[in-house]
Amino acid sequence: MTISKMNHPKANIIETHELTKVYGNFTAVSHLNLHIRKGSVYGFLGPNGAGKSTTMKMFLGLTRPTEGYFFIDGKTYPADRMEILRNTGSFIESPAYYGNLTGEENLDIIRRILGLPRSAVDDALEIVGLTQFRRRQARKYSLGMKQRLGLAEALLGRPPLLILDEPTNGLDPVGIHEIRTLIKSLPRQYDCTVLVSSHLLSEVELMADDIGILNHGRLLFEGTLAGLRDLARRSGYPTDNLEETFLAMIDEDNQKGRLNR
Amino acid sequence: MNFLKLVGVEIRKLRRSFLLPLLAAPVILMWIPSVLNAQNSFDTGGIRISPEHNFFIQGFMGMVWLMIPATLVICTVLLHQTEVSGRGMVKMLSLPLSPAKLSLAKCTVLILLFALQMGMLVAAYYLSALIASQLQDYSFLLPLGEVLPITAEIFLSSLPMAALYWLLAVLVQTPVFSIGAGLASIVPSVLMINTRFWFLYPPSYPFYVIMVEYGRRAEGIYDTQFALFPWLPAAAAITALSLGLACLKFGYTERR
Amino acid sequence: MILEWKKLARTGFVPGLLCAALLAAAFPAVNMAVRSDVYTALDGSPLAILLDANWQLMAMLNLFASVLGACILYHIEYAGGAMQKMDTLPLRPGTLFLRKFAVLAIVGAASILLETASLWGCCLYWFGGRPVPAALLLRTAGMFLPQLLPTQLLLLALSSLCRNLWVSLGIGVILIFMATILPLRGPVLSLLPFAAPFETGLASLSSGELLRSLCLLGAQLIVFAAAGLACQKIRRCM
Repeated sequence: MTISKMNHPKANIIETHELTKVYGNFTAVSHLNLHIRKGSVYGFLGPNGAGKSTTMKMFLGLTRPTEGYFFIDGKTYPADRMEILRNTGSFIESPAYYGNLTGEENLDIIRRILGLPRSAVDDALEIVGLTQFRRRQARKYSLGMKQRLGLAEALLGRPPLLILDEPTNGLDPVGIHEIRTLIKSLPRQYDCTVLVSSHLLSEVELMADDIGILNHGRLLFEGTLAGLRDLARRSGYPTDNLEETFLAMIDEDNQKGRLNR
Repeated sequence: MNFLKLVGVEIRKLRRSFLLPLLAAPVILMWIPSVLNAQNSFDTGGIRISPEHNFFIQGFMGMVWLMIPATLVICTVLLHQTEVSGRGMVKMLSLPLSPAKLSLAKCTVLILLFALQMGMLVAAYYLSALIASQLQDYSFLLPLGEVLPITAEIFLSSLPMAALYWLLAVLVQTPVFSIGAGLASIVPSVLMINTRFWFLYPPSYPFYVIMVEYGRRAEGIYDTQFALFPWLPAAAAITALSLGLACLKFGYTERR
Repeated sequence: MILEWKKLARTGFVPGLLCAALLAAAFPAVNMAVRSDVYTALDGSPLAILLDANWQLMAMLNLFASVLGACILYHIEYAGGAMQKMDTLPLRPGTLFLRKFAVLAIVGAASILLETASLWGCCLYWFGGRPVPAALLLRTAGMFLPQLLPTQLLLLALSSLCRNLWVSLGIGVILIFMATILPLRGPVLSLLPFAAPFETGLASLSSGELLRSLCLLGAQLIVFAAAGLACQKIRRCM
């Protein structure tokens, strides 16, 4: 694995140490050492099935690490699960909602659990642009609207840490642009940290300060975009287009994996 | 989050779920034939029971043997499917909530829905007894002091069964098996109360209660006293075990 | 129809309904094992004694299994949005409905076969001295299926209209409940859906009466099939 030097010596909000998750004889995440700076947008990159969602689920206590441990703002799982969840907004895999309830009612359920003021719901609806459709039942929402509802659930109460798993899936180009701009602006606007996953480097490139590249559960690279370009130049990967750098990196790792098998 | 507030949140999730008509329908449908055939209450078939008690017990018995357990099964399906269908459960588990508390809150909602149906049952009984009294020119109305304690006994004796069905819904993720096991457990309850080990079978508890109450009002039909031992310890143990296991295992498929 | 069977893989449909059939089949055997002295002392045909003692509960299990089966057959379509996909394929929703009905009917037939075999076994074991004519046994089993089919058809039509599992389940259970508390007697009322599966006396009717009962059940099948197919059109427009 390559770790390029972080330029900003800010404290890390998330740190993992040899974090591993094994299901039967399948290793979903292998000895992961992540460093996510406070106040940054961290792009978590990797092809489908690389272990991004599993890692995020471990941060939320939805699955237990097989080995290793992690700290979120100095707190650890399982001892500080509640404290971690109280300060984390999340969106995992696909939007979660109660189809019989309206968008507003869905958010109100979460607002009550988090003990937030009523205005938090309007605020979240406004941020994701769902105010107009707040009285429509969630099951009647379009795919993009469901996605926005999922994001609104994560943003509710403006938590200091946001964990977003492929949040732009299913959105149209305008929607993708809006959400991307929103994510990029969040740390500055609300003083939060965003961990956002994607399988597209071109997307992460436009919003992330730092990136981590994951393949078959292993971290191939962690650092800034400039660091990735630097590494590509040194390792002989294509450098004109970062997407090609990413593909070449994954391809080389897959080849190595095949040879090892 | 305070437990009562959490129960409130759980109740909010049931909006637009067609729940009230589902709870009210059997109660209303059950009393209509009772009112129309109220004259049959005078024909006790040699059993020494007053017509008003006959009217009351026959009606309640129909409800107790089938509809009460079935209501509990249907409500557990409702509570479980509400969480599963839109991945609501994943969201709940990623919020600062204890899964055990959430499980208990949902079980409380199940019991509240059941209590609501029992309330409807009493109201429908009085309404139909009133109409039957008018039709037959004979008072079928029993005092509230007699109806409410029996209803409360039936309600309380159904709680171990509710806990057991809740455990079944938590443990068995495939709806066919959890619903199937629940419905299948209703059928033998009539036979179970005639065996020595009825107290180990919670679905037969409410039927046992109504049979004892029947026995008290019609000589020689059934026991006239509740066999509190070993019933109460067995019921308490089954309830505690079911609730404990359900709390421990709640949402385990989403937390793997 | 094979496709319909394939869709049911890992839903627990086959093992679940098989368990219900086994439970119903075990019922007379357990009842006889526990109280054989009571029943063997009774006069009359052993089959009639066994049916009188057990069929109400066995039929109840069959009905519960039918409610559950009908609910699951359409729940798998609604749960993952497969219904929408099915509606966009060059496949008539009516055909889908009839195929699903065929699946439910086959499971119903298998259950009844299993239960009749168990009744026959009980006759042989506990009433060895009083042989049961094979023709009567076959006629009984042969009648139980047409008695069950209209109910299954109605349940399936209901389940095809309900997006929520608990609504179709709730209505199905309430209808069974109604059949148990309403005094449905007489040659017509007793053959209505939900009441007909409880009837035990059809096999011993005269051939004229039997034919009339069969015609009545057949007419119900046609009416409910037409209603079911109409429901599919309504469902698509909803």
